[in-house]
Formats: sequence, structure tokens, C-alpha cells
Amino acid sequence: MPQLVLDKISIHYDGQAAPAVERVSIDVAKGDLVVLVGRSGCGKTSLLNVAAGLVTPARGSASVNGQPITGPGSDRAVVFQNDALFPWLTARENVAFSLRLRGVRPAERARRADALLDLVKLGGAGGKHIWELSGGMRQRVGLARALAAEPEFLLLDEPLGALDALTRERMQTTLLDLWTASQAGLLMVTHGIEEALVLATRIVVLAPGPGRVVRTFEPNFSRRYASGEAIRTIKADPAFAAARGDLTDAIFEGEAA
Amino acid sequence: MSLATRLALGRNFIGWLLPALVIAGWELASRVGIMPANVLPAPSAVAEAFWRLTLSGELVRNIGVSTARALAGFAIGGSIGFALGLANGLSTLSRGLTDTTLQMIRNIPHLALIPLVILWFGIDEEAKLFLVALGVFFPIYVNTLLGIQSVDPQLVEMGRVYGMDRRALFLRVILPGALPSIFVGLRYALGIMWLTLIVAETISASSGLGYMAMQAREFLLIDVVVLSILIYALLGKLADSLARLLERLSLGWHPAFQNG
Repeated sequence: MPQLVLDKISIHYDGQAAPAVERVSIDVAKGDLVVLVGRSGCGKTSLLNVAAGLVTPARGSASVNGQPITGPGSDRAVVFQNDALFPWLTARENVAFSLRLRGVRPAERARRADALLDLVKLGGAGGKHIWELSGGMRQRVGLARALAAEPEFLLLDEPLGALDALTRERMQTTLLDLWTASQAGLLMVTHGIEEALVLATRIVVLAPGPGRVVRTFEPNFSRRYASGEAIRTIKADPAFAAARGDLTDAIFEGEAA
Repeated sequence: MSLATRLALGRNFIGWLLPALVIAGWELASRVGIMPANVLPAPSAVAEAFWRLTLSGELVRNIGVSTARALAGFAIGGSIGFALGLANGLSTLSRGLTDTTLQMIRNIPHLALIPLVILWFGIDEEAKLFLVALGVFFPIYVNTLLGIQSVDPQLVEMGRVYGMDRRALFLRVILPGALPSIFVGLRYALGIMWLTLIVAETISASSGLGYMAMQAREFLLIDVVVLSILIYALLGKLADSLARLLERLSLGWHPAFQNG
């Protein structure tokens, strides 16, 4: 079983007295959708960057399938909050970018990029420039680009954070569809409590000063969506409201009211 | 002809409307005697001077000499500025080492060096090349550096996530990201190029457009003086149009270059 493992990770940034994250362990198996939530400064993004290979932890070990993480690798793809698409390329060229770096032929590149754009419901927009696309469309292109590399793990740093509420809700189901279709392991950071509940198979609640795990939840709402239940019925379920209350309490636990 | 092309042609044409009106008004003022010919000769007199100098070959020769000087100076100053801009944008060591010095030199008006340059090089070609190169260097350097520094760091991060090496990162991410700013520098430098050259030729030269204008002043040929000035305007516009064409070809993705 492929696994992304962060084991007792501590992160210490230069010039800061206190560690940003202390002894946090998270593991993501293929098919998992692990969501990190917590107040500002709890080190969510830092942990994601360790998994991406962009930040080296002070202590602890990070590995993919038993191989220590020493830098970015094609087994992991990253989606940032602001799309980070290359504005000088079209949507299709952005999606095909990793394929081009790997030397895939142009015709094959275009075919696979178009298939991925179809998957994120952007079929026909391949020739468009980035500035012609709305925020939601850009983030879809970003997801398609991440999937193009056929990663085993997808690392998402508040991928829907910059979108308006309606687009955001629609993108949550898109994300779930992609997760089901690709069967990759997802590790995602979010600020949205409801978003965490809708998407996660596991929620890791972090608290700041220094960043540490305070609780873990294992909601089943995303599995219910994957097995065909409508998202509205799920959200209307009293169990959803209860889980929402519990999660909110966990996040603000210990904070002066 | 489609509506779009007709509109595009119309937009190109509209820019020439004002200069044409000015010339017509000027001709009229000269004809009725409001404008004395020893202050400003009529456009027709300037056109006559143009024809005369074209027939004698003098005009073509002087434009050729000036253009060759301008381009040579531009190539030298531009490539040094571009190279240093890249180096200082990509390496903190290089920037730390040279930027302070360059900023000090930048604040000297390069035309103030003319007396020194004449002492060094006399009125030979090197004097003009040196001044043009120096004038062109700074806009190119500053804007290349600025362009590289203002590339979205998240795009660079994205490049690293894709495992690009430094070379690929430079060619695929940093250079395209810096290009809009580099073009701003290019257009600005082209303006400086003509300005510097004309001033340098006016003061110390034995050929070229600036020299032609100065000679004409000696012989009170005011039509030739005015002709020279008009040619500067046209050459400047030509250089700018070329730069804009290049810009549009290589920045087709940029929202600013979609229309007009």
C-alpha cells in the first residue's frame, strides 16, 4: 500500500525562537483524503510543504513509499491557493507542462491534456489564455495540471480558498470526483470547517504555538458521496451538523473566548 | 475587409491625423505670411530640401551613418545591460557586488560626460558608440533586473515542484515572466539611443544627421535644420513601432496586447 508518512516532524524556521511545528505525525495512504485544519499559525502549510519537499524539517522523518523525501518528486503534485498557472501558456499547455518536461510527444500531450480538461469540466477551453478564465476555472486547470503528472499523492494548499462561496461549493464535488477517479492519496489544507467535513476521510486538527495535533476525526461524508448520495442530503443530515459542532469546538479549544 | 481589420486600420490612421493637421495648418500659416520663412520654412520648402538632399545622396548617407552608429551602440550597451540585469537578478552575490556602483553611475547624466569623452576619443566613432552604449545600458539593466525580481515567486516554486533544474527554471519560468518588463526597458532605451546619438553628433561629428543639422545651421539653411528634426521624429517612431511589433509577437499571452 503506497503511503506518505510524516513521522514526528518538527519545523524550525531561521530567526524564530519557537518551533513552528513540534512532533506532528500524519500518514496518508492511497485513497485517503486527509484534511489539515486549525487556526492561523498552526503550521498546516509548513507540514504540506514538508510533504512536497519544499521545506526540510528540523527533526523527524518524511517519506513516500519508504523512500525519504529530499525534494520535490513526480510521485507528488502540489496545488497552491492562488492557481500559480503560467500566464504565458494556454490552459492546455499548462496542463501538459509536466508531460512536456518528461518529453512526451506533442500530439500525445495535447490528447492527455484535453482528456484531463474534460475531467474537470473544462473541455473546449484548452486554447484559452489564463487571463480569460475565471478564478474557479483557473483552479480547475491547476487541478488538471497536478493530475497530469499521474501523482500518487496530491498536496493541496487551500485550493479553494480564493474562490467565491458558490464556486467553492461546486468545486468541492469536482474535487471529490477527481479523488474518486484518480484514487490518489490527498493531503489538503483548508480553513473551511464544512469543507473539511465534506471532503475528508480523516481530519487532523492542529493548534498553534507550537503547531501540534490536538484531535483527529474520521468523518464518512465523502465516502457517502462517493457511493452515490447527493451532497445536499449529506449536508442536511443531523449527523453532519453534529460533526460540524464537534469540529468547531476542537478547533477553538483552549482559545480564550 | 472584415469590420475588425477596418477598425484596426482606422485606429492606426487616427494617430496620424493630428500630425497631418499640424502640417496643413503650418503650410497655411506660411503661405499667408503669418509665419516668416526665416523662423520656420513652409512644409513645402522642407519637402523640397528633402528632395534635394535625397538626389544628392547626402540624406541617405547621413541617415545610414547615424542608424549604424545607433544600432552598434545599442547592441553594445543593450547586451551588457541585459547580461548584468540577468546576473544581478539571479545571483545575490553579483547584485551585492555591482549594484551600488551601477546605481552611482546611473545618477550621472551620461550627456555630461561629453567633454570627457571628447578628450578620450576625440570626435571618432568610439565617442558616439560609448555615449549611446552608456545611455542605453541603464534602462535595459534596470528593467531586466526589475523583471526578474518581480516574477511571481509561486511560479518559481511551482517550477521547483516540477523538479526543473536551474536552466529549465530560467528558460521556462523566469525569462517569460520577466519579458514584459524587459520590453519596457527596450522601448525606453530606443528613445535614449536616438537622443544620445543626435546630441553627440551635434557636438562632435563629421557625418550623420546631427552633423548635417549643424552644418545647415552654419549656412543658415533652416529648411535642412527643420528636415533633420522631422527625420528624428520619424526614426524615433519607427524604432518604437518595431519594438511594439516585437512586443506583440512575443507577449501575445499578455492581456495588455490583445487589442490595439
